[in-house]
Order: sequence, then structure tokens, then C-alpha cells
Amino acid sequence: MGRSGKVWLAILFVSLVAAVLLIADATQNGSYFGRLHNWLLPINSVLLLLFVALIGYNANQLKRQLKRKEPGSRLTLRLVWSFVVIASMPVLIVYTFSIWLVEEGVDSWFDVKVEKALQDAVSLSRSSLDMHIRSLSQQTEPLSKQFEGNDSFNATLTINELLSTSNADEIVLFDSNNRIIASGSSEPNTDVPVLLDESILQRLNSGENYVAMEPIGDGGLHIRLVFSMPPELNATEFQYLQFIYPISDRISELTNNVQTAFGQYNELIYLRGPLKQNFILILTLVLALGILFAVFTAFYFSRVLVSPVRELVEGTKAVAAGQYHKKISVRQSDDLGMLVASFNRMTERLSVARDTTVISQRIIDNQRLYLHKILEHLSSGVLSLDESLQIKTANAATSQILGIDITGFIDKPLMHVGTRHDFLKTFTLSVVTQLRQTSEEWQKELEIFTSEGRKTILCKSVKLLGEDASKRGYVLVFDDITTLLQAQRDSAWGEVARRLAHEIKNPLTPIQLSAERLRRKLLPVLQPDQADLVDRATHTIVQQVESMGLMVDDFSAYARMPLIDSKPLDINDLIRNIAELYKGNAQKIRLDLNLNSETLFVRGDSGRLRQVLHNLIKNSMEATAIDTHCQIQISAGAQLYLNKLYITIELLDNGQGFSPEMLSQAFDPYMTTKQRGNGLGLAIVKKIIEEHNGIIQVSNRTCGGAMILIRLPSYNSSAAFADRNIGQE
Amino acid sequence: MFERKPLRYIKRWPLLALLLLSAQSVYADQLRVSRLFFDFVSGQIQVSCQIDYELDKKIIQALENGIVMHFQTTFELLRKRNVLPDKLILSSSQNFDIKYYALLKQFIVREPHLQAERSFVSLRAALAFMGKADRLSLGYQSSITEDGDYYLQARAKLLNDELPLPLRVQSYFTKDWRPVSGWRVVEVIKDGA
Repeated sequence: MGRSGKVWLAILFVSLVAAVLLIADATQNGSYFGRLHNWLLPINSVLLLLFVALIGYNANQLKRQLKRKEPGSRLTLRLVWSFVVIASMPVLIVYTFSIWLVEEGVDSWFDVKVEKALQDAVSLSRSSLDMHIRSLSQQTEPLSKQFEGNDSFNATLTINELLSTSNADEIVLFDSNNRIIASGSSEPNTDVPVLLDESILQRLNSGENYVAMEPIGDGGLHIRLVFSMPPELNATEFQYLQFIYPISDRISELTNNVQTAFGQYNELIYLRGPLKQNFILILTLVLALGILFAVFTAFYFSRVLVSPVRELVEGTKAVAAGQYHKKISVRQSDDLGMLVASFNRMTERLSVARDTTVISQRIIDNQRLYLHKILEHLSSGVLSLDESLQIKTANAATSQILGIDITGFIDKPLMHVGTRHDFLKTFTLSVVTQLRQTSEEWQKELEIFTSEGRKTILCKSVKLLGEDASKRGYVLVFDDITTLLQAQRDSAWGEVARRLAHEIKNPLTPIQLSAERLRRKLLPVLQPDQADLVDRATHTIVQQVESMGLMVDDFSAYARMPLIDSKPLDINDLIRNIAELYKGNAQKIRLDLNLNSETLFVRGDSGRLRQVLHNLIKNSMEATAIDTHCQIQISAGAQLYLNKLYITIELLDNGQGFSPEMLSQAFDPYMTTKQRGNGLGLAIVKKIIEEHNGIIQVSNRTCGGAMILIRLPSYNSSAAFADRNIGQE
Repeated sequence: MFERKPLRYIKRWPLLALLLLSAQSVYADQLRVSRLFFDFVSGQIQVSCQIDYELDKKIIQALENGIVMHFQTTFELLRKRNVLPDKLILSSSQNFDIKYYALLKQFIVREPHLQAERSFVSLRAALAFMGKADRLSLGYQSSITEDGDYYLQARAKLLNDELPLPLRVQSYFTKDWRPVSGWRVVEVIKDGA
């Protein structure tokens, strides 16, 4: 609770109590504050209106808060209701009891016996006084005869005489117009006599005498007797004669005492009703002020009590929204204050925990990013699968190895890859089968047939274990080991060729020399038929030895690994030079060249590249049917392949092409479909191209014949060349 | 909307005026200044008036039960002004207290400022006495200048602030306990005009 709030509430309470006390005091007739009653009632009414306005304002605010569903508004409403009910019930009981008390209490002030006694006292007093007045009247009335035959002067003398002989204080003679004809008083220096008022005159004119005891101020009384002059007196100018007799002080005092007591009691009885109404009004005002003060105080204290609760609710919402730094000011040292302090400690700890979590999360994110980068740059394909074998993640190498865009299959079953791409059907089936059958780690070599030929994929799988189902699954790692296997084979074949050349070539020369020596020594000395046999036999031996020598030379050439003499050379010139060599053999072969208009530089050994083209042209010629004219088209150009600029040489022929079995093993040594071939031609070609860091691919043309594509790293470095000549695969 | 709004106010004011007039007529029922006139005597302004008292039964009943009633007649001389409210030049009042002496069955009328007291056998006679104001001095004639217009007004009322407290509270809520006459106005014709 704010200090200013307490002060204002105290001021309001003191004002209320003061106003109620003042107005209660003012109800006492004759009290000091009674004179302020005219102001106190409006002041209290203003206070009443002030409370009504304050309560109306608070109620309106609470209504808005309830409408907006602000935290703590419902609790405030409940507290206000509770406070109002608790405060109002005793007040209402006291009010009801007070009303009853006023009704009964005021009535009890008036006793029937007292009232009767007072009335009897008044009647008795009246009777007594009447008797006295009548007696005096009977004594006085005959005195009027003394004015018989008097004029006004004589009348004055008569009055003076009567004053001396009677107890009258004053005698006045009036004419018919109520004018004073003559008057006399027992005391000198008295005021001019008072004229007869209209009511007395009426009574006299109706034939009655006026006989009455009258108050004369300062508690004194006198008796006034007024008689009409008898007509037989023949005093026509005199109409009315008035005698005033004094009353003793004792009788005056007694008379006044009776009158005062009776008058006060009568007044009280008359004011009984208004007095009760006045009390009820004051009580109602006090009740209204009390209840309104209670309601206002209920609003005030409810707000004070709910304030920390509201702040706690807001703080809880802030914490729920992730704002852990929310602090609530501790204003009270009570239980709510302790609760607020506990809340602050909790948010502080939560904040520290959240910060720790954020740091940990960042570390994890960084590690994940790091891992992601590694995976992205990894040459091995990495696939993660969930328990239902749906692909969750895949790195770029996966797409490259499988030859498809794997990103389109994220969150889809692995089997969909095989369904969409036929060449991967066997592969995916094998993997899925293996994953389902093997619960442990496994490793397997699988083959796929892509447009680039057969690929050997080495698959490894690890099962992921975790308590959470979302964490369980598999990681599939696979590598394209085709090149590795090819290199191993090449190396093995090279070793075989080298050993073969070494082991076979050595005995060939003695065999050939021995055969020639036998022929030279025996032919002259043998019979013709024997000589013919020896001649044919030695000839065959020499011929086969030469043939074997050639084969050994080929093996030797394959096995030999001379260092290439790399120099920049123009592929266009190389192709043109080779084509020139085959122009003389136009009956058997036709070479069409489709060369680039610009110079296509590569860095290479011209002799060995020349051998490559010779081997390829020779293969095409040998693959062409005997009765068919061999047509070869050689194209040269530039191409961007895997973000690198290559010079391409494409050779198309109209031969038989490759059988499907041969297509994947075309470059293996000793693989040939020809009767006289040793199967080393394409193997040597591949080896030379790879020595130049190039790539060679073989395929079949759709219209028949083979297509051989060679890619060599370009030596043309200018960007302009690339812009002009690049064609992407 | 624009046209209806002024009409609404136009309709309200006459209604309010009628209510006020009707309220005024209620007061006029009990007290009425029936005559008012003045005279210049020896440089003094002397006013005389006749007030008719037709008191409500409630007031008469209260009187007969011993409640003292205080009546006041106010005389005012005002100078007319165009824009500002008229200026009060002279003012005087005459007060009467009336009470009932039950034992003697007399109504006693007292003039506080004169310390004078008279008794009457009937209320009518007492009220008739109270209703007659004869040649009361209001002030000097020199208060009236040649260049101004003046008027004299008189009003009689029951001083409800002097009532006993319970009745005073009632007087806040009911007009019966607040009898007051309307202002009786006469133009002041300057001496010699």
C-alpha cells in the first residue's frame, strides 16, 4: 500500500467520522453544531456523492479489467464482494436495530400518565384563573354606571376616582371607532394604552364582554376586562370601557411554569414524528456513508492485496513467454512479499538455466553445423534413416554417387528411390533388406548400373539406438569404390604384364634363333619332303615367336610407366595430323572432323595422345564389318564438367558397338571380342588419358556404333574462351 | 440531428419555467404581499405594506402545539442596471415571532427588535396585526439620485432556519415548511417628479 494512499484513506475516514459525529451532534436541538445543520447535511450529501463517484469510478475500472480479462480482476471482484458483504451485514443489523430503537425509544419518552397530568394541571389552572377573572369581572362591571351622564372631561375624573378606589392599573374609555376618549393609569409615565384589536371588538359587538388574562412580556400577566357601555347610561360617545388589573408575581410565576411545562411537553409530542424521521435520516445517512466507505475501502484494499498477485500473474506469463529476466518489486514484508521474493529467485535461477541451455544449444548447433559441413564436403555419401526407413538427411556426395537428386526424397521411404529410378531398384532393395535383416553393423559391396557405366558401391550401416523413437534409426555410409577397384585391377594387370613380358620375352629370342638355325642347318641336308616339313615347322615357330614378341611388346608397353613429357598442344592440330595419315587409306575408312574454330589447348604428351587416337581409330576399324565402309567422326570442343573446364574429344563410329557385358569392362586388360586382339588397346588408352588427368567414357550410339568421349583438362585459361565455348553436360 | 437538438432545448426551458412558476404559486398561497407603497417624509423613505397570511394547516397545527414561528418581511430598494444585476441600495426587515399560550388560549406576537409583545385571542387577529406594516423607515431619501431608475420590493417569509431541528430538516424536503411570498415590486417615483 502506498504511503499517499494510506494518508488519503485516513483523511477520508476521519472526514467521514467527523461529518457523522457533527451531524449526530447537530440533531441535538440547541447544540453548537445545530446552527451548522444547514451546512452539515449538504456536506454529508457531498461526501456521499463523492463516495458514489469514487465507487462508480472503481467499479467501472474493474468492469473494464474484467472485460479485458486482466490478471487479478476476478480476484479483485471476489475480494470486493467479500469485503462488502462482511462489512455490510453487521452495519445493516445495527441499522435495523437502531431504527427499531429510535421508533420504540422516542415513543417511550412520552408517558400517557404524564400527559394526562399535565392536561389536568392546565385545566385546573384555567379553572382557577377563570374563577378569579369572573369574580373580578362581577366586581368591576357595576363600576361602569359611574360614567352615566359624563362627558369626556368628567369621564377622566371618574377614571381617576375609580383608579384610586379599585385595584385597577389602567382604565381606558373608547368610542365606537376604537378611539381613546379618556384613560388613566395607576402609575405615571406609562405608555399610551393599546387600542382594542379586531377580535375583541367583534366579541364586544356581539354582546359579550371581553374578559381575559394576558401575558405582558418578561413573564408578567395582567387581566383585561372590556365592557360595552350599557345603553341606559345615555353616554352615546362612550362605547367600551377597559380595566386592566395586575396579577401577583406568584400567580404569574405559577401560571408561566404550568404553561412552560405544558408547552414543552406539547412541543415534544408534536415533534415526535419529525424527530424520529430525523433520526432515521441521520442513521440512513450514516449507514449509506458507512457502506459506501466500506465498498470504497474494499476496492482499495482489494487492489492493494491483488496488486502483487497481479504482478505475479504477469510475471508468470512473462516467464511462460520466455522472459526469464522479469523482476517483481517486493513492496510488502508479509506472505505475499515472501512469495514475490521466491518468484524473483525462481526467475533468476530459470534465467541462469536458460542461459546455460542457450549456450549448450549454441555449442550443439555449432557442432551440428560443423558436422554438416564435414558431411557436405565428404566424398562418401551419408544417409540417415528413421526406424521406418524414411530418409531424414542426405549429404551432397549421396546425390553425386547415386547419380540422382536425393534431396527430393527427404522424408520419403528409401524404397521410393528405387521405384523412381530403375537403375537403383536392386541397390535400394538390397540395402532395405539388409537393414531389416541385420540389427548390427554391416558392410556390403553393391553394384549399380548408371549412364556412366557400372559402379561398385561400398555400403556401411550403423543402427542408431536411443530412448526417443525420433532418435532411433540408421546411418548409411557408402563410397564409390569403382575407381579404387579399377586402379587395383590396373595395378595388378600392370604387374602381371610386366612379369609376363619379362618371363616370356627372354626365351623368345633363343627360340627364334634356334628355329632359324635349325632351318639353316637342316634344310640343305634333308630330303625335299623332310626339308619342306622342317621349313614349315621352323617358319611357324619363327612366326609365332614374332607374334609372341609383339604381344610381349604390348604387355611391356602397358606395364611400362614412363614419365609423360607434358607440353601445351592444340588438340585440333593433333587430330588434323592424325587424320592426314589415314587419307591414303580412303577405300577402307572415312574420317570426318568436326573441330572447334578456336585453338583447344591441353597440356600433354603429343606422342602418347597420338597413340590414344591411333588405338581408338584402329579399334573402330577392326569393329567395323569387313563389307562395311568404316565411317568415323571426330569432334573436338570445350565442356564444363563438375565445375571444371575440359577439352572434349568425341569419336563416333558405325561399328558394332559394345555388348552390355563389355561396356563396364571395356578398359580392363585382356578384355576383347576380337579374334586376334590381346585386349590391351583400350586399357592402354585409358591409362594414357588418366596419366593426363583426363577421363574416358565409352557408350553405344542409339543409331548403332560406339561413342568414345575423352575429357582432358583445358589449358585455355581465359574467361572469354570459356564464355564462348562452354557447353555444359 | 442538428435541427432537432436546439428544438429540444427550446422545449425544455418553458417547461422548467412553468415548473418554477408553479412552485412560486405554491409559496404565494401561504404568504402574499397584497399592498406596498412608500412615502418621503422629512427626508426619509417610509414604506408601508399589507401582508396576507393564509398559513398551511401544518404550520397552524405546529403553532398550536407550542412551536414558535418566526416571520420576516424584507424591504429592498434597488437601482436598475442594464447588464449587471440590479444594485441593492437600501435594505430593511421586520421580524415577528408568534407563539401560542395554551394555558391562556392567547396568541402572542413579539417584535424582537422592539422588544414588544402583544397577545391576541385569535390567530386571525394576530396575523392581521403582523400583516400590517405602517410607515417603516427604510433609509434616507438622498440614497435616490436623479440619474437612476429605482424600484422598491418587499417579500415575506417564514424563517425555517429558526424552526426546531426536526422541522427544519423536514423543511428541506417539503415546500409546505418554506412559505415565502413573491417579491412585490413598485416603481419609485422620485419626489417632485
